[in-house]
Amino acid sequence: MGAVTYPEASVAETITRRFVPVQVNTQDGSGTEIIARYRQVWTPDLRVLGPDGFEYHAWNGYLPPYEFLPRLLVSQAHALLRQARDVDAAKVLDDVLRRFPSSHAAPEAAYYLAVARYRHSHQPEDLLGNWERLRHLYPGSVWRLKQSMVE
Amino acid sequence: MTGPSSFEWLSDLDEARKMAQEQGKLVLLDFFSPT
Repeated sequence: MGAVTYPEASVAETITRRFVPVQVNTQDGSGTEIIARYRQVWTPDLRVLGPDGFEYHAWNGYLPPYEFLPRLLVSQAHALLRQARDVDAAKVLDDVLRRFPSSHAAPEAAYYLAVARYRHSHQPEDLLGNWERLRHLYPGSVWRLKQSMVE
Repeated sequence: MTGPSSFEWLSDLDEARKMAQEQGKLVLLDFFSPT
């Protein structure tokens, strides 16, 4: 990640604008307490935390820049949703779909965009209409499966 | 896109959390293996 993904200008700009980045070395003994606290077992291991240390979202595995960025933004959106900032979450998710429509994170963004909009409006059409868009755009995705009970 | 092509990682989680509180941001914690 350090060699390919983090040096990418768009990745660096997004990280510095939206996050305070901190790294823990899992091999030199300096992070033993934090490794135990967050039950880290594999690397790369990314966590999105609140200032209180609460873990809003996490994922494992290397991603190239064009997949890392949408993954990071969807994770930010998860944090915003869990902070009841539904409008802000929807903006981030909409941005992911606009900029990274073919990314692996895009179907998840489409699923939760519907959730974010519905949570804000309480209008069923915001949920169901946006899930219909998910079915159309990403028919084979697991996220389509997760809303299939409404089909 | 303009902006930094690299950035500094903090190594102190408590410091990162304090900065996140002050700046209204989230913390991005990266557990990494150098080898």
